[in-house]
Amino acid sequence: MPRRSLLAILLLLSMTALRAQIPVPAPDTADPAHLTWTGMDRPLNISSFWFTNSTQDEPAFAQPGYDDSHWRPRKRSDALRAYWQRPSHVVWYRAHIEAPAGIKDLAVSVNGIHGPFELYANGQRVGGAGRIGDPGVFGDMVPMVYLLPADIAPDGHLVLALRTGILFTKDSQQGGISTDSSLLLGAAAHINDTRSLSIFESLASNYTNLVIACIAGIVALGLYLSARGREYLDLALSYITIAVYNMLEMWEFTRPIQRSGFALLLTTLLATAPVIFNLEFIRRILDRPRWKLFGIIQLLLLVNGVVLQNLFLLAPQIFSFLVQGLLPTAFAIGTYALLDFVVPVIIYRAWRRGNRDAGLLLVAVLPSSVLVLAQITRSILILTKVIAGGSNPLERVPGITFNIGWSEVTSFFASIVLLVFMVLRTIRLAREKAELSAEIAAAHNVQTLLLARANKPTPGFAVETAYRPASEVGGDFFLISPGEDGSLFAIVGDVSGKGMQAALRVSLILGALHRESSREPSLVLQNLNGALLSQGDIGFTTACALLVEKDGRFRYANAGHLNPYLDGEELPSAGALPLGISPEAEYDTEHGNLATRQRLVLLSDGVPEARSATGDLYGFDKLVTLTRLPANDIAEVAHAFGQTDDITVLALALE
Amino acid sequence: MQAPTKVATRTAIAASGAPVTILAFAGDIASTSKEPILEAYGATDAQKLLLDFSGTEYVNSSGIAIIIQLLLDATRNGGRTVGIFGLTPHFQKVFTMVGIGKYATLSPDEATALRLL
Repeated sequence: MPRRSLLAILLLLSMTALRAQIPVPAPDTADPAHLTWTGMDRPLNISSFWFTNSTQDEPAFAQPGYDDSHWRPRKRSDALRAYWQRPSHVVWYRAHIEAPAGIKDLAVSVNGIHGPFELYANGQRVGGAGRIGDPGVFGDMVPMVYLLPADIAPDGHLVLALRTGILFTKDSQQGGISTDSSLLLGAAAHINDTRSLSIFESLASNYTNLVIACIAGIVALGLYLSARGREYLDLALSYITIAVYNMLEMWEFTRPIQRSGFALLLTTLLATAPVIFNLEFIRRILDRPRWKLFGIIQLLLLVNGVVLQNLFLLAPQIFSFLVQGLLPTAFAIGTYALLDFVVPVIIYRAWRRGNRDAGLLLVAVLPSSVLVLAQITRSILILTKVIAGGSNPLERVPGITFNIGWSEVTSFFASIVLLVFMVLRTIRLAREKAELSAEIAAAHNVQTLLLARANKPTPGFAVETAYRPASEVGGDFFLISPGEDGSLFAIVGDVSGKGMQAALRVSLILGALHRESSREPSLVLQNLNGALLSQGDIGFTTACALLVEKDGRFRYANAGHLNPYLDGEELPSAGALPLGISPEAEYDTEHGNLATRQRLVLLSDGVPEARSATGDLYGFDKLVTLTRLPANDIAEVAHAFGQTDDITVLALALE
Repeated sequence: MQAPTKVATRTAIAASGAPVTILAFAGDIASTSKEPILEAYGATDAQKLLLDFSGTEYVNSSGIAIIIQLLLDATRNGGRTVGIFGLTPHFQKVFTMVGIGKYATLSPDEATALRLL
């Protein structure tokens, strides 16, 4: 998909080779009364062939027969103030063109008239824009084309008249034909070609932005809907607003409309929104707090885009250079300097700290940030008169006549890199997730298998077990092993840590226990200690092992684990180091007797260390009554109190 | 949920007149506490050490492993004497259960700990 956007740009760039019919250049001075046009194969530039009248406003001025010989000819270099006279609201222009007789299908193209106007050809009104007396600049991006009636000049004599509205204040005036206005007369087909090329040139960046924004927006939206990452929604919203903004601009540029204050407000908001959404996207990717630096920059952008850049609309009465010129400029420079300096630095630091996403993000952001910072530096240098103004090398890409500047190029680049970013990130996250769930599933299978083997029939004993891991795979283990002599061996333990590592150690322990030939509790613990120590530094494990004879006499040994409870009473044992820490550790054997209808309960620390929402521990004191309950109830009570660790309960009685 | 562990080091004099370094822990003790605790322990060469848990409410199994590691190093390799005080009754029981009592005396408060050291 990025390749397609790239192709769109390359296509646009290659169009530089294309040239529509170049109009006949207008001579510097010409006689508007005798302009002969023979070159029907090319449009005629009529920008400067006009008589002007700025003192009167008569309908007769539109008529071909009117005598304008006393009007003032307008020179090509004449700005409005050269021939306009206060306090007139209207300036008329007339031009006489001799075309071949019987000429058909003519059109006039009007570009850059700085006010409303009406266009007449041989007395007939053929077009216009706006209303005389209203403000507006028409055709400043794309020329407006007016077709002349087919038989407008049967004898080849054509008089064009233009009535333009002038708006003026104490020291400024606007409207009419000025030095940057361009008017062409030509065959309708040629004029339309010229307009198409002009549209293409002016709107090239809009078309490209729209295409890229649509593609990237659809990808981001698709990722949001499938992967449910909120960051993709931010990116999608950013692209959607970019697309809407560009569509609005294209619609606006190709129509003679006047921008209302509301439309301007909407435009600045639409231009600011993508930056804010992009920041939100970056913030989520880097996992940064909302109401710190990012929130501040977003707020500044919003204030800048909505309030400060529209001060002339919101508070026209406080017009002054300071309030409406310098303040918004300084605010915008400050905000964008902060945005384009701080954000790349934050991304760079995240990348250095090992955030894998930050690298590509930096590639996307850096070119446009560097450009903005260079432009800001240049503006400041010009303002402080360190360097001279003039044509801006940072604005135009050399060799491109289209309306594509460096800022467009850097934003295309950013969009393409972000597209690549989204695709790579999604693939990586999906792969990591698949690997992790496969590992967990494998460990879970091993554990289920081993624990199932631990749950063998126990002739002569009634055994209850309850096992509730805190996560998919647990760090608790237990094993019950009936002996041929009618005795029962049981062990309950807990390895430190959780998840995969703990699960692997549980598997190791259960494997060692199955291979164990002794049933003597202290010896089993000692052998297990040795087995764990031989595995190197793997944390520690607590365990309590118990052997009950057929007649109820029992002995147990404890390695840092909870003591057994006999009918609610905690049995004593000297504290001992957990397994896997010291090769010198010894585990004392304690003795007891299990009478008929008495219950022995072994449990893991997930029960006394259950923690409530307020942080209170369940504690040891309540175990006196709790351990009298069935194993499942004990586990359920601890779980309901606030499970933080695996819970294992094993209860046994003589049958 | 877990507050980062802070370790403050101060000195005191035991009843016997020997100088004592006290490592006072603040916050829960878990696997992330390893670095600050062992760093503070490594920075002192006092022969008598006290571990102050009065600022600690929760020690998980990884935290206990760190304390055991410290105690084994201090008593076996360093021949030092270590006392522990300020534990909640719950963790007093847990510490006894995991055999810490064999390597350090457990006291309810600092004064008792200094007397026993």
